[in-house]
Amino acid sequence: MALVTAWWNRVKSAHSVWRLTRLYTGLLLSVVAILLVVLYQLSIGQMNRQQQLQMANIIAQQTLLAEQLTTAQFVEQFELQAQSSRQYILSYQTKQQSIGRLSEAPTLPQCPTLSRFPIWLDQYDEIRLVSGCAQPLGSGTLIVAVDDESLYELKAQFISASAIALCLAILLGLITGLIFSKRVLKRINGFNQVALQVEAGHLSARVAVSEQNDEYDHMASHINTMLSQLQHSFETIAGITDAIAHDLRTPLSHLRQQMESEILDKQLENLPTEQLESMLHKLDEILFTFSSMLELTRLQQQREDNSQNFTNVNLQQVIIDAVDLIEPLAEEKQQLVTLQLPSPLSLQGDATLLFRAIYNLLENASKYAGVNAQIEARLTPNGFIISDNGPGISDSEKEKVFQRLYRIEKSRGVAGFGLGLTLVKAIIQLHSGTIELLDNKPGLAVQITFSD
Amino acid sequence: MKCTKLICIALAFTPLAAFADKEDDALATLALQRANFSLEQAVDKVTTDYAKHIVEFEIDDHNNQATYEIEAVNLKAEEKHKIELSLTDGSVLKHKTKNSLSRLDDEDLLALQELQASNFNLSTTIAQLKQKYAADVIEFELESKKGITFYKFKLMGEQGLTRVIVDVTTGKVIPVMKR
Repeated sequence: MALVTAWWNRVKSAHSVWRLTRLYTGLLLSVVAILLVVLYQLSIGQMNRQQQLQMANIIAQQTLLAEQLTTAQFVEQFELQAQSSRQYILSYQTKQQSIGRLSEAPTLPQCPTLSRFPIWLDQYDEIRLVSGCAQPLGSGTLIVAVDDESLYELKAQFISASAIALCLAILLGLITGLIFSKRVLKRINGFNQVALQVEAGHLSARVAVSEQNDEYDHMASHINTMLSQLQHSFETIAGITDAIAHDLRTPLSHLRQQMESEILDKQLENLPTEQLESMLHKLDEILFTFSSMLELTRLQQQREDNSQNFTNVNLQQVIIDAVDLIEPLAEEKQQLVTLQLPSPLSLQGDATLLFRAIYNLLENASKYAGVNAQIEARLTPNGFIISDNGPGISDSEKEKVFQRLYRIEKSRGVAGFGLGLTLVKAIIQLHSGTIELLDNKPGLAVQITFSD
Repeated sequence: MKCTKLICIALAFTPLAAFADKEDDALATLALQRANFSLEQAVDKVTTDYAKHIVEFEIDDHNNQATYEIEAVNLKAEEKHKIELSLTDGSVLKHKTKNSLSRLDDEDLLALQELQASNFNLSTTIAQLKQKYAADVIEFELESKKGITFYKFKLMGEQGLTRVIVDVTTGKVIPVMKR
């Protein structure tokens, strides 16, 4: 029962086509029902009305005669009328005698309300069910009945035929619904699947185009063209940045070597080297940014190609190692780092990359949460959460922080390149995981969830 | 040719057969009028001593002695009794028991089940009919048709032969349609 309810709720909310099918089935049923009612009224209903009209005529006629004739004359004409009437069974019952076709007076409601009662046909040795009513007339009661067994049988047959027709209408509606659901939803689901793949970073995913050349195919080719342009733009941007980073890295590395030897020379000559060291530090930052950008491209490439080499990773150990490494940095700012590891969690992945992601998140927390902040690393049944009680990130900026080289306005004073969270997201996505920025009230909680 | 002969014989005997029926009915009425043991008593005796549900009754003869031939069914024990009681003193002249109801069709079984479920009192009904129609019950039978279970009584009085149908469930008389 619970399964059926769950299935119904899912169907009810999920498919617009199914909703249309239900509407269509409802309309189909209504049309069939209206047709059946009209048909009934024009056939059986009409016969019923005619019968009732004729019975009312007989009653009116006999009432008039009872008023105008003497009792003996009335009885005489009634006997003749009862004998001659084939379709209607007439009987007049007084306390003393029973005139007409029936031997006894059955208990009946007053006309025009009809009631069914049995009568015995001695010549055929059978019982018939007839409809009739009683009308007080003079000193007795007039009974008018009609043998409507065949009409009742017709009515029963009509009702069963109507039930079959309605069942067939439901069946037809459901079959149409299933065909609609399977054929149309299959194609719509194809669009959804591609959208999900693109959302997950697989920019090369394309919608299948059939040979039918219908509206869906037109839409599919438009979406595919749009995706190709999007992919091309992304590749161009990534290619340019990568080319710049790659081309500049070698000369910058040479420059670094020269500066290092220059510093050594100056130190030997006991000359001041502060300016050169400051320049070296800035050069290191530029080199770090370049290598991060190249790393990011490599990660995204790996995800596209599915070329990663994963091993079994103990996430609990990785978190402990990352916390160990961040602790000296946190101590400098009098920050408290706590670990919550309720149960071990292992997954297929790259331990080095996962360590980098976790360390990066801890480093971010330490960097932006401020002095005396509390940082917590907590393992969950299917991932982990790194949280702090610092200033947090506003809702409007939560999505933007994952963009390459994006930096929040208020964090510009803190050293960084706007690549940390972009790299973390790339690593998590490589591990089929999701990253979500939540409000820790106060502070920020970064929730990582792995799908398997 | 043989067929034609048979038809001629059948036609020739038909009025005689009808006459024989009428004669039987008259003899049955005469026997009932002379009886010391009433039909109601016979019905009560059978329902008490043999089986509760009486399905058929007629006047028969046993060794030139008029008898009440009553068939009764015990649904629980699945027995069918055929008893012949003397009209003179109510003594049992013949008794046959069948330990199976397999010969009963669906309508017969339905009739018995309806009779069992109802509060119908057969001997009281017989007494009422005798009084109302001023006639003797010479035959009756339990039947079920179109979902209605009833006793079909044949009464013989000064007015002649009367057919009365009584609904077992309601206890009311079902009107008979006159020709």
